[in-house]
Amino acid sequence: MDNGTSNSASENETITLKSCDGIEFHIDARIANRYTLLNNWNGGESACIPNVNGKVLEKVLEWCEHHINDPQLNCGDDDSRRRNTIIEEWDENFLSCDQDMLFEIILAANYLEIKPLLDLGCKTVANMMKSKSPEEIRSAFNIDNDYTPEEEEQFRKENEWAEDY
Amino acid sequence: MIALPNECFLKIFNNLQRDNGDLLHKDLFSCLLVNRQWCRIIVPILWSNPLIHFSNKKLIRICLLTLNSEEQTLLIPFKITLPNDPKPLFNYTSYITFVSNYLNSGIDDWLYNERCETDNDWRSNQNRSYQPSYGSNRHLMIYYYEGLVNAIKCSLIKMFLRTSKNLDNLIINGIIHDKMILEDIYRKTTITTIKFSYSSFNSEERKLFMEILNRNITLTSLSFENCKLGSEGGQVLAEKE
Repeated sequence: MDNGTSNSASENETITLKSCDGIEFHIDARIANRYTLLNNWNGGESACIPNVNGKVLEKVLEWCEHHINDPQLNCGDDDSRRRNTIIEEWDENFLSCDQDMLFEIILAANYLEIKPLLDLGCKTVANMMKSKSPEEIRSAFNIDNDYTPEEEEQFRKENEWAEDY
Repeated sequence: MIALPNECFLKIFNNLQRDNGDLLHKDLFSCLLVNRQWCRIIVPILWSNPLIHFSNKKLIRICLLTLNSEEQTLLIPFKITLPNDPKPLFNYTSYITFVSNYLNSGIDDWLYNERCETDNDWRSNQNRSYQPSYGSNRHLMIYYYEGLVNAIKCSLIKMFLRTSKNLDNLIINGIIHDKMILEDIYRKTTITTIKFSYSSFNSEERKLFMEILNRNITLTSLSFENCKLGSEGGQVLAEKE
């Protein structure tokens, strides 16, 4: 992957992106240069980003714009042990949206390969799961329990060592 | 809930950790019980490195259920009754990448709390803190107990070497008089780090071990803590280095 040319765009250059529902966004070209996949849809009139609607794309681009001057992480830096669980205040406020939007942002960040936003979204969801019982998690995320009672009991027994410390 | 791909859930669950990077096993356990999809993603994370949980009898019980008949033969002289729970729903031990030095404590914990056998005298007589005792009966009891712990440890290590697909780091605490284990370690090409603690090797084992060491190409770290290697062993190690 070539990172050497990624910041060649100047401050005044803009590009146009279009969401899957046809909403156009004129953004600082430096944003698209940071995230390769965004740049791929710099087609103005005809090209549009599939799978990401205008509402979600607006949020994603808002985040990208706020973080335009952040130092870029090394590619492949995926060592989970080095990640910390602290989220900056702006990011915390940014992701204090409804749960569907939070998941849409994660999906879009994953699709558009905007790794820092994806990490942030996943960290936020993980924080929402901490110190909760399985039932509380199901209720918080509206998830159905598809275990049979016997199966759930056996999984509980086989993994209960993990809840002891 | 909006459906996310498994790769996103994997990222989310990997974020269930403390600020120092240690996984929050308790939270992973809660998530595992949410539904089947989450369970399939979480089991490999949860079991990859149980760390201190190796000292837990509940974990040892599941590991003992995974022993095959060959591994169980090491326990025959001790007339030990293994757990008879149903077969585990996952091949849990296949995900273990790190066997920690807490294994001995876990075996101790399991023996003390869960072991079932016809003769329970050893339990009332044994001294779990290993205080010195001058009675011959006491000596025999401790000798028997240490042999028992050692046999269980060897059977478990053999099983980890057989089942763990990505076993990377192995800490062996105490004596292992089992040539087969040394040979299994050689065959396990995923292992990069081995640490022996309070071990000693007799001359035959020493020779075999050094031979294995000379042929092993994947090992990047080998350490001995309070081990008796003898001058011959030290010399071969120095040459290998």
